[in-house]
Amino acid sequence: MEVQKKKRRLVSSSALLISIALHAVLILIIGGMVALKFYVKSGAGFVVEDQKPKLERRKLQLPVQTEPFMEQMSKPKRQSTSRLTANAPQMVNIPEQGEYVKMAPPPSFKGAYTNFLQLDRTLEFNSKYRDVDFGLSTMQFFGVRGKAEKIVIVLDASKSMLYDRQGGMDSYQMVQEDLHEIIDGMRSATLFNVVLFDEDKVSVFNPALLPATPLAKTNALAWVGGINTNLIQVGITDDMVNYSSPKNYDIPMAKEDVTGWLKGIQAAFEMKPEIIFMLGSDWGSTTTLEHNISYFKKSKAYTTYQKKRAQYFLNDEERAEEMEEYTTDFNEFREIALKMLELENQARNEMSMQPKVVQDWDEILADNKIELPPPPLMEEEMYATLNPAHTRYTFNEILETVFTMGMEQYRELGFPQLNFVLLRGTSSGRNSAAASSVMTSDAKFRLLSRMLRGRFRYLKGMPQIINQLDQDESDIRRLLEDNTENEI
Amino acid sequence: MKSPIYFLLLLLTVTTFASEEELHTFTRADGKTGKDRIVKYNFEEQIITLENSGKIAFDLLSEADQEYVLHWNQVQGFTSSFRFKMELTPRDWARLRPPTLNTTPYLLDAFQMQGKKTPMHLLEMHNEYIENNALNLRAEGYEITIKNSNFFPIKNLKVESRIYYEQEKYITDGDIFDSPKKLFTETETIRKSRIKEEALPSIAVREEIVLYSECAIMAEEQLNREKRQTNGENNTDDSTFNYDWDDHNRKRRGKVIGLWVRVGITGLDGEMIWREKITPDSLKDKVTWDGTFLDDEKEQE
Repeated sequence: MEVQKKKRRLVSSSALLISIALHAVLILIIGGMVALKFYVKSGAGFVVEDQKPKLERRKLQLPVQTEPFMEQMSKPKRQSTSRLTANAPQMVNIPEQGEYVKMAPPPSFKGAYTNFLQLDRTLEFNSKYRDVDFGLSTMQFFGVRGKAEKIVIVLDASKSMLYDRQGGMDSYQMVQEDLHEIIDGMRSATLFNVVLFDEDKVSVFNPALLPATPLAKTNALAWVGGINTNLIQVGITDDMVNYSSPKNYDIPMAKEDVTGWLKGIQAAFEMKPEIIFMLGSDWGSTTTLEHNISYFKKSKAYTTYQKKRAQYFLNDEERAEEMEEYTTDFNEFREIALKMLELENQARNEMSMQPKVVQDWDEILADNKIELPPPPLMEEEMYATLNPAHTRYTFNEILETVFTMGMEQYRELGFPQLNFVLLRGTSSGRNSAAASSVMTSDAKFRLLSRMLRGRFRYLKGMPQIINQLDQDESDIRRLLEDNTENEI
Repeated sequence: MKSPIYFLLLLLTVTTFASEEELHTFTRADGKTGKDRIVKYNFEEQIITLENSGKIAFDLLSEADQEYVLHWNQVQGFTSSFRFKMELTPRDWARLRPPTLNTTPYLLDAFQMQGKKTPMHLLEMHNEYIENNALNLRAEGYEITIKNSNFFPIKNLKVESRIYYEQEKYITDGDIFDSPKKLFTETETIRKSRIKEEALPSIAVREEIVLYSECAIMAEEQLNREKRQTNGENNTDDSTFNYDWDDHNRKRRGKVIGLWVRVGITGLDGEMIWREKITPDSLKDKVTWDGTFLDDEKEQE
């Protein structure tokens, strides 16, 4: 029995040993496989850096110090690959002074920050995924709030900001005073710029964004403050124009038709700010007095259309007569309007007031409830060959233009925040059914800002300047007749 | 059984390619010279294995040869598909999608009179019709990820990428009025490509750099015009113009075709060595690197 027991013990102990041995072999095999897999993945001979340089968070986003960067570019450290002579200097991106925003490519990092290029890359990196707020300025731009490190203000400097119905010069002065506060409130580490536009003229305060230091702010305010201070010199003077787009965008609009706020925004896009604030008065290059419709004109097509339209009335005797009659009427009304303006300005002068600023002379006719007769209409079938719709850009074409101009600059950074403020006098304007068809400046800006997740606000200007004289058409006609008789 | 054969074949191929390299005259620091070919360079231990002369310490070579070795090493590291990788990822960078606008079509005639700066306008609303206008603008591009798994930095790279895309355009622009249906709805496809060239001074050890291609900006637009319905009845037509726009619906689209990326380094002979990555693979059959679309070329022929 004992022998059998011993035998059983021996058998069980040997089984245990075999089992342990088998497990050990299995563990070794599996361990080996895991090690081998790991070994293959990590790659033979890869150097793991013992001490990666600890990255310091960049708190301030200022223009890159190009000098040390350039020095490092020309003198690479010897310890790594300095003996390599395959350097091709022409392939090296050396940023120009103050041109740090144009330092594409903006690579983002996933790996180690080991080379000297980290400086400018981090800069780009922070601009998108900002995690510090040293240079952040909270802006309250005429009721629109925004927070950013890079800000551009685009301001309408055209005559349309000075119209009587917008509140005249007082409204513009109010804008400038508010602008004082806005620019003054910027932190010194905020990068900013100011762009002025006046029809096809654009003037930029500085070629690139610049830190809002006290000196820069003072200079910017002095620069803006010199605009539209008197009615003798309205808008941007020719010597102030310092912007023309450096590139041809693949847009539905002709380059010469990109005017007004579109051109101002284009200049702003090229500086790549995070937020753009625009203060303007009208959407397009043409705003109708009759219906307040605003659109961008296709200048070439418009000229051709006008020639053909005139030809249409000249070609037929009856139509030519109709047009002649209309032209006589039109000229009479023009004379009346100009006389009314003259008298109104005389009255204002006596009251030491600024002269009347109007979009066109027929505005004073409307003020005095006189309607300018509508021009003769073409016959229905003529519109098929002479289509007035071809003389202006559609809303979609403008959207495509804005989107393309923006994205050609921003690319992977996404579209910036775009905010619009529209100066509006206290008068209700002459909106018609056109507003329901997305044709007015208000409707278009409102839609665009909603699409871009920006904001839209009205800036209530000073009260509309009321005419000093209430003039009557027949009185003016009589006055004009008397003048003619006297002259004879 | 097959793997050793493959390994031998691979070895043979590598040897054949290696032997294609021209012999270089190496000069040692002590002045001795000899023509040879580099087989391996151990960057860590600074040892070069030459085909005929065997192993030699890096420091024993003349300065010019050291530079040659480093350049050779750069080229080897760059051409290794295992240690130097490129990846392309499509990205949607921005979209602008206005709400679908339901508006009333209108005729706005502009008339320029002499002696007046602003034109005079005649507005006629076509209240009997409703216009549904949808627009979707997209900006798409690619992320180009370049990873250096070598244990030395790769320097002075040139990265070029060309994005290919197409956009439909209406043949008749602007408003419709009496345009024949065929012309109004017809579109033509315009194929475009945009190139981006940039220089990478250096990619550090085990660094992964993300670059970006040019941006393809495309529009998708749809315009429908239909008669306004009120309680199942058509509105009375009070317009001067009596157009039938019911079948004047049109749309246009755009899409990205692909991306062709090439990364280059100066070779030992001074010529550029390019490595390419193309997505989708079929793109190479459709386009050329200089931006020509092969279909267009055939059509022209």
